[in-house]
Amino acid sequence: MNAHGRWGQGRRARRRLLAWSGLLLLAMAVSLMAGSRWLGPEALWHALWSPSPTNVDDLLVRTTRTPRTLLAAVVGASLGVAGGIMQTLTRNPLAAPGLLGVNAGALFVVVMLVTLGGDLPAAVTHLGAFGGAALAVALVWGVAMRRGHSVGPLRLLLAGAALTALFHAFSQALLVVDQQGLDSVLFWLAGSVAGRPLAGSWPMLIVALIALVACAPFLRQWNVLAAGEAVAIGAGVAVRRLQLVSVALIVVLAGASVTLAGNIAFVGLIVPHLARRLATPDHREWLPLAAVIGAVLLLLADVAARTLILPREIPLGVMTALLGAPFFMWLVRRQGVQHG
Amino acid sequence: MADVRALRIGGFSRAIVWRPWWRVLAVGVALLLSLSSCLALGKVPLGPTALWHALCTPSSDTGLIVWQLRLPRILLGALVGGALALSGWLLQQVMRNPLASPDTLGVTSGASAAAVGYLSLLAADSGSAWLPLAAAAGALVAVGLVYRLAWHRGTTPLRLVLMGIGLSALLTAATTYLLVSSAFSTTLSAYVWLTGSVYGGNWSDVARLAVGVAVALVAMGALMRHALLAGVDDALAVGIGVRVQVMRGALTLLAAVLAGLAVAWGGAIAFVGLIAPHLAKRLVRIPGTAQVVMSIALGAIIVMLADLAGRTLFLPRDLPAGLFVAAIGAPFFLMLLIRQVR
Repeated sequence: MNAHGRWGQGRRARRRLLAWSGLLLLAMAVSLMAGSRWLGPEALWHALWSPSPTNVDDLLVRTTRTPRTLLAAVVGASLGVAGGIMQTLTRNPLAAPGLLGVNAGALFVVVMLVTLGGDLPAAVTHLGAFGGAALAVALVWGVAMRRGHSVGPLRLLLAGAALTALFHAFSQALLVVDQQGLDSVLFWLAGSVAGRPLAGSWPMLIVALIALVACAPFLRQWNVLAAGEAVAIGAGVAVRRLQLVSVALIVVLAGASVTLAGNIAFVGLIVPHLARRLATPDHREWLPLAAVIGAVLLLLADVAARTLILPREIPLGVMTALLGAPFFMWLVRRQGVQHG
Repeated sequence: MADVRALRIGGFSRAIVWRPWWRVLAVGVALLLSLSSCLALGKVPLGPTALWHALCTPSSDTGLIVWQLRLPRILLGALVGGALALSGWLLQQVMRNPLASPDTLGVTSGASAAAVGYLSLLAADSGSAWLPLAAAAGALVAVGLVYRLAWHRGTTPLRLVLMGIGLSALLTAATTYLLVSSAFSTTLSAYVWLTGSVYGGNWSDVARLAVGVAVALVAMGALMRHALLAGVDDALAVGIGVRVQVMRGALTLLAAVLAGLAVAWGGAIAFVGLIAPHLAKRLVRIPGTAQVVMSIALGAIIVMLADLAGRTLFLPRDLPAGLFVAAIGAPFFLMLLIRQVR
């Protein structure tokens, strides 16, 4: 491609990505070992490579901890990348799927299906979540972009907050009317990767992974787009098409995350910031890093969520909000953001 | 401008624009109409003569229904709606943004977190009598925190809103945790509270809320000029001689107190604070007393009618008013969002 490697990364960037991938493996191992019952490396090795159907530890690792680890990793990566694309697209450092109402939109549709439709197959619910995410993204997109120019952070975030409030109000209303539905969606509202057998999640996991890979061809174009729309048009980028593709990717990534793990906030906001700070502003460097960091962060948050107050569990979405909201406020204070 | 008159009584002087007040009068009539229809309708529907009879004889059966069950509940709804609407108008003025509402400053989420915490941790011992106090305290603490966090050599509307969103997220997470971890019956009652309901309002509730709102209204009257100037750019306002930071603080506090009171008794009724001021601005273009009165009246009407729908449409069930506020508010809100794009 150019003086750099296949994806335009310098040697340092490649080494950084490699180091974080190592961390990711470590975090996955920790996630497999930690829990109400701590397993040592040997027991883990045994469970992974030569499981016996009668050993409780092996069963624990294979049936509950493996799915949850995979889910956390994929959801974290998807959210990190979705937030990154959103921030590039709106040219707004505070954009993130959770803050802009995407999670709430997806959840609303799910709640509606659960309360009004009764026992629907999982695929319908998943499609509904996608529909809700797409609706919310379309609305936010409409508000964020005025005649092709991005609007200030204040207006975007207020629109997102109001949209979130709207969807939540509806979800709450439906749940008050149908109280049986409340119990079954409550943990979803809180966000969690626990207790989800892999059998039902495979399709979504694969969709999310495909979407992650599908980002690769657009990294260079996003670099140009980040310099401004006029510049991008001048440089020969098909801006409208790129924007449409980006929106589609956001919908798929964020929608899949909500479908898989429910309402998980702030990962999409924090991770791109961390990635940009660690790498250069070149999308080819920081966006892959954002995927890895997102996975690591969500894995660690999940480990914390299930070990901090044993024998109980903090919902993962609550955990990430508790970590992420102070970060958000710190960001606002530090930047002293310009008027929007 | 033939319809502008100057009103002077001693040192007091106001320019009064008459035209919008006709519309205010019309909305006032609508308020009275919806009040009487709320009184007449319910599980036991009353005709006009029966309603009059019931109002005149408080000790009869229908009199008891009207005076002890319906009227306090309706008045509570009206007070809650009016207070939320006024709070929303103030915040939209102070934040200079039509999308600001009591939610954005963390008022609702602070009150929600405090109320749900109270319901799940303390209510078993001390009953729900102190619930309004807990909610109001939560709202005020949340706004205080937002203000403190946004303070950096003064505040700006932008930082206030952003901090409000951040703190709201934090408090919502805490609320969610409490909901998930407490007993299911608590979760249910907390959910009804979160949706917003004036179910079971009685005269002592009405009296306490009315006193609070009356005090806030007096403060509002004193601050009216500054509320109108809050929409002006900071630099210009300083030039005119406004103490911008002091006034912004005072107006925000007033809005927080109003919303805190409303939320304390009515629960987290969403959207009234966003919608009522917007409708009022559509009906009365010029910011001023007429617009404020219009906002309050519309807020009261919205909550009253929503509560009426909640208790009559799905008999024998009594659904929270917040549900219908959201249902009415949603299309309106979407229209607003789309209009913002233009």
